Amino acid sequence: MKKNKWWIALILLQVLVLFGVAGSYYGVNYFGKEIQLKTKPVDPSDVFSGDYVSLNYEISDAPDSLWKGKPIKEPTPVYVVLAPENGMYHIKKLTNGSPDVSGSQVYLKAKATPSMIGMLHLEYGLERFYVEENTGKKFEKPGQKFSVSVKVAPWGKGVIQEIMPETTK
Amino acid sequence: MNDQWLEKEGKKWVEESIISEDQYRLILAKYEDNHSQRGIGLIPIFASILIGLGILSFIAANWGGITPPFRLALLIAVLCICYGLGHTFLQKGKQALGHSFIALGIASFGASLILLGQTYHFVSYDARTFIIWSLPALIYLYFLKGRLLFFLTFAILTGGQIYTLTEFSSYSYLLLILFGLGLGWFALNEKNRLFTRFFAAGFVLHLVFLAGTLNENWLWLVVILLGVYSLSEWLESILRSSLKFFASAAAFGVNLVLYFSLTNAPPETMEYPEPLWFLIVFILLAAFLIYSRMKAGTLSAVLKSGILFIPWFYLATFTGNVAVGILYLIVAFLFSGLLLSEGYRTEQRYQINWGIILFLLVTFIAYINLAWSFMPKSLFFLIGGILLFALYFFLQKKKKDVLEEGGIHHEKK
Repeated sequence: MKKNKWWIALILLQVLVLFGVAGSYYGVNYFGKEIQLKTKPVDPSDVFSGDYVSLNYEISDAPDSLWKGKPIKEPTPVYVVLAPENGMYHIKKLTNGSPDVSGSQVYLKAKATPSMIGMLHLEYGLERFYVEENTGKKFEKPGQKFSVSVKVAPWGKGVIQEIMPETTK
Repeated sequence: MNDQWLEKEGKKWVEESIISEDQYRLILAKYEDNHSQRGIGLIPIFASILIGLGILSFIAANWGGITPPFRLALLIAVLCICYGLGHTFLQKGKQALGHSFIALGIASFGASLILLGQTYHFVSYDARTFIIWSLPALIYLYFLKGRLLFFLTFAILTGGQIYTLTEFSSYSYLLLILFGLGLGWFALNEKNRLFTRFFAAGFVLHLVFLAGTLNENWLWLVVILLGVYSLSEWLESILRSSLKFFASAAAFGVNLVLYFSLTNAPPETMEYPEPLWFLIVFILLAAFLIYSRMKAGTLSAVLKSGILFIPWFYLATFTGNVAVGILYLIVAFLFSGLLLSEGYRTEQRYQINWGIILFLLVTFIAYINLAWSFMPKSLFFLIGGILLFALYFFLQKKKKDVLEEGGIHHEKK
């Protein structure tokens, strides 16, 4: 009987990992605060690739003047403080430790990489919205912008709730 | 080799009085059972793959209509059923079936991670998924051993590395470590030729990827390969020879690439690693190799492969690129020539074969490089073909002569 114990434990661990993945989503959903983000149009040919929509947010790029630490040369984890303006959230500043936010502000964890001169590219893990296969056509219009509602947890993780194509230009 | 072949050939041996009638029966009895068993053992593996595919495609077709919590429950159910069946079969002593279902369980764990990620719109930017996926595979491999689990783990770790490389253009050191220590430990313990070869090939492949993503110059690969070559001195013989084989093969490849690029690229585009550190590490590794070979008294054997690892490219500052490129070509020729002559001397068929293959390869590459740009294409292919044929027949004849001579020589003894 003792011999069997290891594999039961192993299966339980794997099940726990799967619960963990789901749990981190529902945790964010439960504790998180909903914010609205605007996207920028991506290269039209890239918008819809197979089973997901690529999203490029306004907050995906930031001038590196918002970053006060050592110059970023390679991918670095950063914290991005966001504040609302007319209902949409924009970048307030970037920090390298978890920042204090109050009121309507929130922060997201991101990976910063240098892009053009004086600019940083930020990846939040929110860049893909998976859709059912072959239902992505409606997202395929070139130059389409979206407003995306995201729940942001107090620990800096965000999950997408829904994406809405913007009709007004 | 199958039973029928043995039966037929064995009769001839008896007629030619190579073996006696009794020995013939003994030999037949020894090989009779194994083969039929091995063939049948594959069927449950294929069966489980088919069932797995059936379930997967059914779920995939209806995936969109299933709510996320139900998806989670479904995935966990599939996972538990696969593992549960696997262990039940194992307890009943049905190894092949048991291993197949456990492999399916591991596969469904990985699929669950990916599908849940999509369900919740998680995007990963590193090899995390593959690392988590490989852990149960490694643990199962440790406890249960077995070919299927070995190759599954191999595929997860190597596939993960390739995915990380192509999708995120980064390299996962953790995957390298899991591959090197996990599968390396397994190959070392199993002492099985198949596992050792695959491990060695995979390990060298991971290192080639590593060199390709380094911030430093990719030519650090030469030192990395030399490191594999000389540090494998510490290992046991099967694993050592496999690692040496694939490290040399990769170094041979680097030689050909350098020949090609040095003779074609404009001079200012070639960049080399910082010589100071490169040479220090290089000399340390080479010294270790020479020292350990001297202790074993087999220094001369190292010369053959050794020439592949020497960083001739630093000479380019003195002699110009083209001269060094041609030097690399000469080294490649020299290596295959040495391999051939050693094969002839020791009458080892596989060494002769490799020598021939490499010799033809180098000839062909040199020919392409030299003649492609200025020869009419039809003439180019025609002459290339004739050249290769001529070389092939010459080498085959030489091989036949040597091996036949060897046979007679052997009999005389």
